[in-house]
Amino acid sequence: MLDGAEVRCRESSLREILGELPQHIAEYLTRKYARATLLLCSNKITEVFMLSEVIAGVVGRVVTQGLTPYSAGFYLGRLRKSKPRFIPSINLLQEMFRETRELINAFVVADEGLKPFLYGGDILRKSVVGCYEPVRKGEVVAVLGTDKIVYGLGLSRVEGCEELKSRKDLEEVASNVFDVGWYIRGEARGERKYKG
Amino acid sequence: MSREVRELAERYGYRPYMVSRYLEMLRDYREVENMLRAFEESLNQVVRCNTLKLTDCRELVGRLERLGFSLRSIEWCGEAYEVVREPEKPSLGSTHEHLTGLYYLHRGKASLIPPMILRPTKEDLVLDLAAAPGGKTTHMAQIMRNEGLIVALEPSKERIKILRNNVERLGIKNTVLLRLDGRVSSKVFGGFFSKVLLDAPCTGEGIIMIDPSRKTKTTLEDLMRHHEKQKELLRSALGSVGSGGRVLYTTCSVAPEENELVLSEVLRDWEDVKVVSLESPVKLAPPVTEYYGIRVDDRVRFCGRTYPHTHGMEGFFICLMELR
Ligand SMILES: C[S@@+](CC[C@H](N)C(=O)[O-])C[C@H]1O[C@@H](n2cnc3c(N)ncnc32)[C@H](O)[C@@H]1O
Repeated sequence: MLDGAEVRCRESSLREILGELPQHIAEYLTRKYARATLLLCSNKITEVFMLSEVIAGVVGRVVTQGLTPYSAGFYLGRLRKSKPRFIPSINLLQEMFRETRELINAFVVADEGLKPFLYGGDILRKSVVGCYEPVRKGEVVAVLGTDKIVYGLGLSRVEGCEELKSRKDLEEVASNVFDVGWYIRGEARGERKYKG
Repeated sequence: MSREVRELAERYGYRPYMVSRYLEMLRDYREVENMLRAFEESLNQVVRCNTLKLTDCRELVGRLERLGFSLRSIEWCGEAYEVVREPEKPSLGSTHEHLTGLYYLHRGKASLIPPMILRPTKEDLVLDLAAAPGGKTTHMAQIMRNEGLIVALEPSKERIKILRNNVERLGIKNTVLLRLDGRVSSKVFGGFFSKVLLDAPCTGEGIIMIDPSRKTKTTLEDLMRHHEKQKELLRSALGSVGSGGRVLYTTCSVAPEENELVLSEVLRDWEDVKVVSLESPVKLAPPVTEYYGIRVDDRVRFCGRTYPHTHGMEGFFICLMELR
């Protein structure tokens, strides 16, 4: 989470950030929200929000008074300078999967694997019961339960679902980037572990 | 201070000045004791199903029942349930359903009432002047179906994080969160808003069953500090709505100093504000109209209260005002 004083926010558009997004997310957002106003709030990293017209109006008013919104509208995720370049928000992923009815760039994890994941743990090969391409080593993957709810994000340790299959049961196949347990644990979502 | 008051205070572990005020407020020794006794009873927690994520709340009820919880519908709030039995594990705060925002957990039923009375729509420009942790912000967002606008203010660095987590956890998209002191909202926004919710920071003298430390924590000086701040916040709330705009003032305190007396003193300078009679989902108790010889502003008679001993919930004060 960005902290007050040194954060700067400015309005932007989807076009400006499309190049930074994974293809499937860029395509989804273009299809659904091509004309949306975005708000980019930065210090070391950049948080991306999507604003409705009425929210954009208020944010404009707030910013001209020298104030910085703590968050606004629909939080889409964060942009980073190095890989992974974009960490999507849980709400963006959940909406995209629900509306497209298609899983993409995701691991489906069995209940036994979800439990440790929701306390910040990593994901072992044996808990992954579904794998959806593209899955790239060093990039994020969505982590869903068998109920198709998004429980978080991992950083993949494998290049593709084929490689996942070749791994041993107890091998770590994704490390925890963000899980919904953070909402309640209340820890700061720092850059170091790419939270959020 | 009478011997009776001292005895009651000692028996229930309160600062005597508190009990003395309760007697002045309720005017009946037995009723005071009933209230103190009710503050000893624990409340059922309340699950508010998140209708932004679920189209059918029965799905949530089913999921929680399979985990060993028993829920009872709250007849006046369709999407909310009292939790009447809990398994040893998991706790209501740690279920997957909670983490993924399928519900918001309230510590009692009374906090559901203010958003239901203010009844914001997606056409409204709403200000939540003291918002963290976000029970009422998220409830209003739900009532507004995630459309329109809620600006939510919270000055505390730690608490605004919790507010944001709750807003995101519940999948809410119609808020702007600002780390700002509510007392400056009228300067920043002028009369921009059509509805303002002011759930003022208070002593918590209505939620003693949830936090018994409040029996002794608050000194008379603390109470008066709250009173002064509440007046400043209410003035700012009234200055943040335009003509025809509404302000709902509420606290989780039974103290007249934080409620009727705040209204009475502020309304003196606001001739053009009327107090609207409440369309409440539960029948409310009348406000205090006279206190230590002070007659409160006549308009305050339209405000309402909940008490633990008569409503079986937290002690809340609620008042709805409209700017002409
Ligand atoms: C009673 S709580 C609000 C509860 C919230 N409405 C809910 O339903 O979850 C009061 C809040 O006001 C905040 N507060 C304290 N001083 C304030 C001020 N000057 N302006 C705005 N908020 C303030 C406190 O930090 C606290 O979070």
